[in-house]
Amino acid sequence: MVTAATAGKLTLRQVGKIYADYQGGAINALEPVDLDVAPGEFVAIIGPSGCGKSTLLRLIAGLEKPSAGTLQVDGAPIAGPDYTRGLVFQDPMLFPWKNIWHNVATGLEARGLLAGQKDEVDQFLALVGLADFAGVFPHQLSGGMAQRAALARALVNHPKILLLDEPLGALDALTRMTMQDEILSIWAQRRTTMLFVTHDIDEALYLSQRIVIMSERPGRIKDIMAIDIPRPRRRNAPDFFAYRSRLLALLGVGEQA
Amino acid sequence: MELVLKLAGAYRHSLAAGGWGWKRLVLPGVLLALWQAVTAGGLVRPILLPSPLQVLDAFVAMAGSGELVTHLAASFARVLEGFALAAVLGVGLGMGLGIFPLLFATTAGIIQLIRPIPPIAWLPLAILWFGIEEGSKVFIIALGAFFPIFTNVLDGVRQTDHKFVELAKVLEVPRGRFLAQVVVPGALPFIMTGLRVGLAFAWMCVVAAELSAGMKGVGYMLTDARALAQTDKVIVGMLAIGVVGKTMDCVLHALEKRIVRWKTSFTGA
Repeated sequence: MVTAATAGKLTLRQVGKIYADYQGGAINALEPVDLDVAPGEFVAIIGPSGCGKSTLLRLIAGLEKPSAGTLQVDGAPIAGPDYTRGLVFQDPMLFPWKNIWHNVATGLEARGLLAGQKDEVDQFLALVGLADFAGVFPHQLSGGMAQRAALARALVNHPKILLLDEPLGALDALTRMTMQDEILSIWAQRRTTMLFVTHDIDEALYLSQRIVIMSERPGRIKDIMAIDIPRPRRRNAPDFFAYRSRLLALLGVGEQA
Repeated sequence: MELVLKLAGAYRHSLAAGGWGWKRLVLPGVLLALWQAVTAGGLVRPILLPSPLQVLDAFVAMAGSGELVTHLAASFARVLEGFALAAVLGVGLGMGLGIFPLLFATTAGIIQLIRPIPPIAWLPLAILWFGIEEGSKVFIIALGAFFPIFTNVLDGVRQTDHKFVELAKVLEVPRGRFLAQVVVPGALPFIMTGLRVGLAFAWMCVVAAELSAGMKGVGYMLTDARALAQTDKVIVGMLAIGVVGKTMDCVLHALEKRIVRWKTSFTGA
């Protein structure tokens, strides 16, 4: 059933990011942070906009170089972007001129592996429930389906870590819940380490094992909360209320516990 | 004959795409009726505006004598040559400057300096350099059609979404493949727009170039007719350019629809 993950351990030590602004000044996007993520762990990152959560994700993806500190995956430093840390944006960003099959195949094709692994593409399309849509073009898909294709495009490369930057943020509430369950089922099957940026408290609570709470100006980690709610979780479980109140208090909004 | 069939197909295609049928013919019909009414009533002297029927007579005569075809064919050939040259250079340089920052840094200044100069202002030099007949005209046409193509292609490359660039890095897509599979297809709608605008510019330039020199071409025919006060012939020449230009544009548009099938376009609210 559930296989224990052996790869995908993430270690961040004093990782900070300072951008130069257009006037030659400096913007402190991320104060030095420490973060350890175990192989196969599901971690949500939550915080107000401008708290550096996307910066953190981009640093882990290798798309940005840290101004300070070290980032390691399974003990090896992150040198730049590569397929072992898959990326899914809020916008599916499918290539509009490629059909779904070829969109999903992009990574394998890029690394010259497609000829031997065409079955993989079919397999991952089936995993996200798009087996019947292989020949369809992105503009013919709904938002939820497009985001599933984007998931498959990242997963087909067997990433150690999947970085999701508000992947369900643009979907309607019902599609969103369905997608949350699908992401959980993918995670249960593949045990990929998941880093899931969201601004939705309930989504973070429903999905993750731990929630990283960030605060703004300068961006920093305010707290890390373990979510010990047994799975399968029910959306209306009473356990959620206590956690939600604590999270809201940490984020500095409204009701006190 | 095959070409004519294809053109007819392209035209039918463009009609079907709009799907408005007879409604397209209302405004031309009204204008034609108005034109006929104004001229038949003797309100306007025929030398200023001949009636539609006079123009039709002139057209039949010019088509019958082969005069129209001769001039139109000469202009058409020049447009094709100049436009082909402009398309190759415009797409090539637009792509090149969009992709290689060094090439852009070293050449963009010169290109931007030349752009505001009207193509026709090059005519004296062009005649000296390339001769008064074909060479200078093709040069002017190529120059006029080049800039819209070049500018659109460059913009098309430039608008490549930054997230696609990042995605390509994460998926380890090699540079060449990235250009071929992401940048070029993304720029295609812009390239096609550039080509269509460039073609319209080519027709403007051919007439302008032929007005000044030469013995053949629609532009020459127009000057000649004007000198002889044959206003009906002038109008036939103008309409002929419109019809041929529109037909060529339809062909390009049909081509665009075939290539850029993945894109849905806004057709009005």
